[in-house]
Amino acid sequence: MLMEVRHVSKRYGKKTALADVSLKLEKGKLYALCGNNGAGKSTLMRILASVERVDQGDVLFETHSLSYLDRKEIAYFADESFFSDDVEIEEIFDLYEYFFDDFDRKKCERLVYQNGIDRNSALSSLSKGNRVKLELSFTLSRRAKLYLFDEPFASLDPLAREEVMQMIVSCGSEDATYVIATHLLAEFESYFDQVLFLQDGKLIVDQSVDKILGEKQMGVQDYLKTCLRANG
Amino acid sequence: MQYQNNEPIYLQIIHDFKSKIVSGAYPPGSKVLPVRECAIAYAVNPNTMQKALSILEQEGLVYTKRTAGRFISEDAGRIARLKEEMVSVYVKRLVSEMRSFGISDEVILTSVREELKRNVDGSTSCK
Repeated sequence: MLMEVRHVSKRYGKKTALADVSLKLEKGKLYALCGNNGAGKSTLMRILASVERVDQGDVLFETHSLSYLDRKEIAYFADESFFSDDVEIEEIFDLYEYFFDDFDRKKCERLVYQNGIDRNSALSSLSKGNRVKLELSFTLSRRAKLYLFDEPFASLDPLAREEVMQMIVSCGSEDATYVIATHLLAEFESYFDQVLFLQDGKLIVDQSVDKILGEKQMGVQDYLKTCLRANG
Repeated sequence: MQYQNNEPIYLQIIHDFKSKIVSGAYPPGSKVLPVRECAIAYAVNPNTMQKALSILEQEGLVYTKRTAGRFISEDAGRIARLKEEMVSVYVKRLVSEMRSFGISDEVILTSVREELKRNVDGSTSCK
């Protein structure tokens, strides 16, 4: 087991973002984190990335309590770009080399090239799809144990979305754990091992895709709908 | 590849491989793509693909050549057995479904014979 979230709650002022959430992340598995806007997905992602603290409960990374030191083993692709538009791509290479010991520069250069992106350009010149693929190239070129992606498909056309999913699934470290927060479960159901579903800060579903298809005999989207109804 | 909602995905991949081996779309001795590429072709993650390939290997339909990669079996006998297995699965399904509609065995048999007599262009021969 890679990470364990134990009875975690998080509030922002009066708003409860997460309420008593418990879950385990296994090594090597690909997780979908689903839920409506405001359900708590980004909050949970930030807690897993160790960039946000919990109010109640605790989080274990391997056998110890998760701390900022574990960020060297966690690669986090946030829902908003980390870089401002005027940053040059070459600068990002230097930044990543400086901050991350595990950054594979050759691999990143290869990925950027394969995606048809010109290294000698600024971020502002890239299309939305290429920008995402560029930033993904950097994230995936880190040798992490846990990769977190918060809505990587947002605003992308269907082809770009598919290319992004294929990149995530094939370019990161083998045996790493992947968590993707997304609305687009129906489109990418077949890729996921396990589905996590948040509703109003509570974890309503934590289920294996194989079990949903094999035992419940329904598509994952339909299964989530029935669980939603059961939870009133 | 379109997946159904009634079976784990790795089982559906295995079935697809078996169909393609029997139909010749995956010819005997042909090379199987590396796991990551196969996974992309089947729209699954590499774990799922590996699971399916391992089972196909256990069943003797796929084998690994040390440094060269994975290949479809060249064992004609094994492939013939696979064909029989698939025939058996489809026939079982047909018979159980028809019986569940209350159709008698005689009618099942005559219906199958009639269907076999149909020419490729859809016309019926009276022989």
